[in-house]
Amino acid sequence: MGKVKRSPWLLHYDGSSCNGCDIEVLASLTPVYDAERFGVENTGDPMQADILLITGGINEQNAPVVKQLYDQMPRPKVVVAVGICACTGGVFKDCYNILGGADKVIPVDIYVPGCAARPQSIIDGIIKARDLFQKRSDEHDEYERTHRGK
Amino acid sequence: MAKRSVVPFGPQHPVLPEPIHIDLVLEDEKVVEAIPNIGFIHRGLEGLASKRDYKEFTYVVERTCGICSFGHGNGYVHCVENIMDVEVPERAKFLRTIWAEIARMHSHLLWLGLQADQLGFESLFYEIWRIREKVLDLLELTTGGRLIFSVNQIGGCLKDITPDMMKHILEEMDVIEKDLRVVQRTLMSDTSVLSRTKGVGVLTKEQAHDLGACGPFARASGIARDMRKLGYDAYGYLDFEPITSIFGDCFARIDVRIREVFQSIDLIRQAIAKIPGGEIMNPVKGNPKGESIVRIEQPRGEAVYYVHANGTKFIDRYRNRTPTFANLSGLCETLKGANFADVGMMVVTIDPCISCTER
Amino acid sequence: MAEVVKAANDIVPVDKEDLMETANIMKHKGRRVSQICASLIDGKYEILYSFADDENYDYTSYKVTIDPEVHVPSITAIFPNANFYENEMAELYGVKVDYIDGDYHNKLYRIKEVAPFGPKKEEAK
Repeated sequence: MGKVKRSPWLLHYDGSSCNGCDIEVLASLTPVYDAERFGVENTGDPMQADILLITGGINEQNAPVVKQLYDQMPRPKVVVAVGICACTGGVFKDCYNILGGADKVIPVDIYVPGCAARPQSIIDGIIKARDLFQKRSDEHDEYERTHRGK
Repeated sequence: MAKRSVVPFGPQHPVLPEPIHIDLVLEDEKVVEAIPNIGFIHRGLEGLASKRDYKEFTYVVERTCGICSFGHGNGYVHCVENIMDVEVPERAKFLRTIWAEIARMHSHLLWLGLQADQLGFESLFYEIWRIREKVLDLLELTTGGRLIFSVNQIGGCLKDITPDMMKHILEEMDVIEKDLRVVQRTLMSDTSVLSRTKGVGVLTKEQAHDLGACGPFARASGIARDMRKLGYDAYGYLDFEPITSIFGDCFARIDVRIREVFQSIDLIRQAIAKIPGGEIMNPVKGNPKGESIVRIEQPRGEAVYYVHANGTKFIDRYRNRTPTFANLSGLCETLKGANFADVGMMVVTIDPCISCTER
Repeated sequence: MAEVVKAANDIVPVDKEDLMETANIMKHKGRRVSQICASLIDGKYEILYSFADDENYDYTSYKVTIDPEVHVPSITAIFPNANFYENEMAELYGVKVDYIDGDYHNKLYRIKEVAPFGPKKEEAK
């Protein structure tokens, strides 16, 4: 039985990044790079989001915020860490207030490298996230069908 | 007696991509007090000075902020050059000026886009960001990076701009100027923009001075202060006057910034016309010892850099007072008495850069 | 060629006792607080109070050198916008500032560590 595919919604949160990756995330959603043509859309509401784009490392103050945003998103969900700071802590790794990359508090599926990450690689990450989201969604449906007979 | 309530603003808020938290004390719909709380992006970058070689530290400084990265690098190398008494080649000074102005255009256009978005003018937001991509292409062409350039080093610049690139920059400037005139005409005459910004969030000249506001925020209130007048880099060879407005409201801030983009275009043309040939780097030997304090005009205003070095390759103290940190007091003052619905826009009009502020 | 503003940019040492007096003079001259910063140099705090003149771009930084346990007065009574700078140095450097108008009580940055850039525990006692 065929189903209509959905366009996943993106939620962007700036951890303790330097803004570089944030504005590149925004740039990749605006005309020249236009990630929206791949069927994703930007949102500000974690409750409606499917893909979380996180930039910047994790510090003491934002760790609970990031955790909460992640918990508010409905399952299935995909997390993309954009930029080297979100991957490992990057240049700020040795700073006293940085705990490390985003994977210190939430599970990260896709890592996008770069300082600042280029729009091309961010779009690459978004496409991978979209496919992964579709896969998880299908698996979820399959599980429901076989185990619960829905 | 109106009922008092406290409404938190942020940290994750739709008007800003960056996290800032402000506690707004409301009396019905009016804001009576605004208490900012920062620290979501605090990294403790200044502390890294004791872990990185003073030359290597330039790259860390540039990553204070992705929008004003060129200015931060420039301020830091100025400090160390002052301490070590290094003479920077003339060509490098002009190169720094050109890059600083292109970076200022990119920053102001980014802000204008966000402001248009905040005013509910989505199509203009996309248009401005399309123009901004042209500016970023120029930065990528000349430095190799879109946001973080890493072309400044103590003693000069690491990269040169070839004559072909200069020609291309001048051609692009004509295109950008033409496109921007349309944006300016639209933004300055649109009825809904005017009604949402005129007379909103007024900061008087006296308040701006007393609260230590800086940059376009202060210039919109009539303070003709521009650190570029100090003549650092090649600004001493260029002809310009600080751009001011007398109204001090949100509209004046938009007006000042959009005129500053045209000023930057003019400065780039002047600098390219006057740039001398020659070396771009003077080799630096030894370690710095002493202290120096330097002021630089960033896209967001006056930024203060202080370096205290002790003669080893690690510096003792690097201090960066960023423009948004100085503007916080002014912001809180303008928020008092504002309508709750205007708060988002007023926060955006000071062009806040939170990662600069918290470092 | 455009004229270049020749502005002074000095660092002047002052005693802690003369700080309020100096701030008052600066206020009287119509200057504004440009920045305040603390540094920990050889186990002593060096606090720079920078005052800027808007008319002629002159810039003077007064340096107060104190031992870590000494308190400094707050200049917020004279310059209200100094409170963020004083809160910052109190929180990050552990400088003891008396009577800040608008004291955040080390909750401006809300960091977990106490005075991360301040003197190490065994030095400060």
